[in-house]
Amino acid sequence: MSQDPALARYHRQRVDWSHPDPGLGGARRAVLRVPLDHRRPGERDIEIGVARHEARGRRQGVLLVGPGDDLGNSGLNLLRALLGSLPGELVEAFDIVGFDHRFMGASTPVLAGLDPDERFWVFHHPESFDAELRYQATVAAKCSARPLDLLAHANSRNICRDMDVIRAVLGADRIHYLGYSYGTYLGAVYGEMFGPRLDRAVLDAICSPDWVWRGLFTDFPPNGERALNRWCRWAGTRHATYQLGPTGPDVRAAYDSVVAAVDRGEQVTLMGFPLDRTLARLIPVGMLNSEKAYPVLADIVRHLLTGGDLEPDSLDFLTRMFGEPKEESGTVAQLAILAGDAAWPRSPALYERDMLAAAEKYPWTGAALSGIKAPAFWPVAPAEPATPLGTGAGGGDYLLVAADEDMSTPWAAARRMHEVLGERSAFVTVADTAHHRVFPFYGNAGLDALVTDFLLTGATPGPDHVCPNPDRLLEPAADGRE
Amino acid sequence: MSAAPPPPPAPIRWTRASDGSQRARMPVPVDHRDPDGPSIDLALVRHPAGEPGARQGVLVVTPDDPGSSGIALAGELRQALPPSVTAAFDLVGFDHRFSGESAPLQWGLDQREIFWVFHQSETFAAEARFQAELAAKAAEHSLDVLPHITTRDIARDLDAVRRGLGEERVCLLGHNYGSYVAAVYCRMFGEHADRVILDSVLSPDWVWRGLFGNFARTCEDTLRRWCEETARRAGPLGDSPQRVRDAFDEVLSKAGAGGIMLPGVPVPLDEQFLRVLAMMLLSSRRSHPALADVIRSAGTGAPLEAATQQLIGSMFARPREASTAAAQMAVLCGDAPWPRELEEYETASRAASGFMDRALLGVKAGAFWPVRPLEPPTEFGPLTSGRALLVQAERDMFTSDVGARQLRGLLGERARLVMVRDLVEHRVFPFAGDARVDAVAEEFLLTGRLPDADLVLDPDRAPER
Repeated sequence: MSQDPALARYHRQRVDWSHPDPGLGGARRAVLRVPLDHRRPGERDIEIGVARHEARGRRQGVLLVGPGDDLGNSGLNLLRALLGSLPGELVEAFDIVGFDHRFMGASTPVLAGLDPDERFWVFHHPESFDAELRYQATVAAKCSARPLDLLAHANSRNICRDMDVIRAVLGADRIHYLGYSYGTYLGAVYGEMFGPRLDRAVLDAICSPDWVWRGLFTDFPPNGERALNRWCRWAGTRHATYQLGPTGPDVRAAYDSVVAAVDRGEQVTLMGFPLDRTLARLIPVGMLNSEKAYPVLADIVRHLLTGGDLEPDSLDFLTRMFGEPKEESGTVAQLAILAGDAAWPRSPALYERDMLAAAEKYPWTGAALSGIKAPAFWPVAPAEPATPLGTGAGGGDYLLVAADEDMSTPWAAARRMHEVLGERSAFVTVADTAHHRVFPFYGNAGLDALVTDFLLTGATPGPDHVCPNPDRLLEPAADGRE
Repeated sequence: MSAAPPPPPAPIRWTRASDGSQRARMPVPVDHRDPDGPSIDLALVRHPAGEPGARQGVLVVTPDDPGSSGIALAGELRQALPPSVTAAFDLVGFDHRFSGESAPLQWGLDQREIFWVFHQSETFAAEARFQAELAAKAAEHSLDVLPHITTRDIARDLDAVRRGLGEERVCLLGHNYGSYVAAVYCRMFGEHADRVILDSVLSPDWVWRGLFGNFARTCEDTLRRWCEETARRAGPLGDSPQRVRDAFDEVLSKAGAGGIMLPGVPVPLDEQFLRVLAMMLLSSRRSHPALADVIRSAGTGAPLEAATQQLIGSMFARPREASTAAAQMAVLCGDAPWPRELEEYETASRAASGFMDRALLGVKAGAFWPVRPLEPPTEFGPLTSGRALLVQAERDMFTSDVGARQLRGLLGERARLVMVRDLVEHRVFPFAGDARVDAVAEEFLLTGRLPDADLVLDPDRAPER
């Protein structure tokens, strides 16, 4: 791998590290060059923005943080968040390194002039199938209009090859890895492609190896309904506070009435923002990813139904949400990767069937996620097949972490990854929480200790461990998982 | 491409067919950049020179439409070319890659899909779905090979055929799309092109959405002229061009409202079919009277003339193969990227005025094509070896004279253009039976001599039916 002479010049490139950036938790920034097309090194390079926070104590190695929490989100932002939250022992022991993946943020970003409304293509709720076909085709057309020379090389395997250049530039023979959500997939692919280079890897909020990538979308609606109804059940127990109804179904009816009003075209506004059929569904998505936001969602629905004032916490939450729109390059790169890892079906008839069936079964997000999507119109075929995982050629020791009620990356998806990685992986369930990205953000002390121990020593609590949740917000449903 | 000459292919092994021609199959790489990768077999035909003593070399015929059989065309030409030409040349034809007998594409296209070029729906949204579905079928069945179904790859195959024949240089005869294949060949492999006839010439600027726009305009122009000419005859459709046009439009709208019955045709004809039928009858002056007869008959319910019935029968005698349409789509959508913003097509079809505009300017499968070209389309410049004779009817409806004039200008001093003024005809040499054109072309093929200057011929008063 590093013996490849064509790659050697990338591995040995001189890197200028900046002064420690207080805005990045004291990490130093640098820009690396990697081949646009790893099959043709030397032809055309792109930039990868990285940042390294040096080990405060006795350095034990490199901990590479996979980019993003969700696909297309900045790995450098994630690094900043982590540096404020990681247990001290890890900050002592590791150089902690983050990066933006190719074509977004600090890494040769690609812009496409998307309208604000077009940045929400993932959750865009169809008005009709024909209108949605038009909308999604337009998003694909805009994203691929100019920079297709670059975006044709957007895929997870190339991001992993970029990661290996980062590794080599850092002078590490092997790295440890921490990845969330889309970053978990990268961690698995990296281990498959560069097995001997991967030491310990923690994957938290895990993508199913079967998703690549339409499955990510079609798996969401049932999990979304489950997560929404879980919140409804909780809000029912707080009827005295929120007045949304005393039972889960009552609360669901209350929320559905808001959505129905929006769908009928009634003027419904939130902090002055008119809600459309997409936003009326998308706003709760962000809040269902953690019980910590349950009260905010209840307060918002109460506000929308009764007009009563929003609580300060809700105002804060919404200000942050509306105030930090997703960077456009993240949206463009996300689409290119989702379309570039594996070919999507392209038949409108197939999507229409799926949309209608899912809308019937999962009224909240079924139509949006099982219907036609921009990757169906992507103008280039994947440059290579997706990576088969768990082949035996891979390496690395994995600790897999899953919240049992996670909506976006459900527990069952994590189990599929466990099955595929087999004995190279140990599995930890965090009980009774919907928190997406548990370590260290949720603050489960048992889990945090266990992950820290794994990264420092390789010790695992056994192949299948459950961390109880002392802070759980509600009792499990009587009939088990919701 | 790489500077190293490709390795000499194995000589072609011919077998004798029952009609006296010879048939062969030769492998070509799917991806010419990867000569040792997957290959497909090209189907070839050879009609050996009639007089071995007079043999001058090989005349390769290029397929005249993307997807159309070059083998069938070579057979047709064997009958139609002047005997001096078939005596002097081995006539070689081929079904181009992924068409005909050369690894044809099986996408399961239905009857409506086969006529995707002329398809139009009630609404723009419905047409977008129809065309997107076509691109989906292409992706589902042929995603891996789609990037390699281009004119440039067909030209590379042609050069492999030349090498397989053991010929240093070949002469070429290309009609319609075949003119473009031959011109691209000259640009890519010029030193191996000898005497080249390009007939009914496509402009390199039309690749390929432009072809649709140009065609829409010439269809309407031709219809206008047909109205004038029909009015001059003062037949049953009236004696003013406007009356004739009204009669035409009335029949179209009747067809749109519920279909019209043509005597002798068992099913009602819908508007789309009628437009296509009209378009086909307009394309040659020889069938112009038949169009008048169709409009008369459709308007009054009176029977068609026997000759018209026979002509229409012969037009639809051979059903179009689904694989032909698939290959056509692959080339037309794959040679150059199509605009992908649907708004552009919607605007164009909203502004439609000509009788074929909505069908031809609307959204096509290219807007949803699942791959993009691996290389830009061919840029043209002066020929540096070989010679080219361009042949063109000035009122050719499928390939307007603009294309021939443009390409003539680009090819420079080693090319000449012979234009027949005012003639509505497609594929002139040797099919139009114009003795003057045939003589110029025959002399060129046999001696390599081009006219001293471009020629514009007045229409000969060929007998009209």
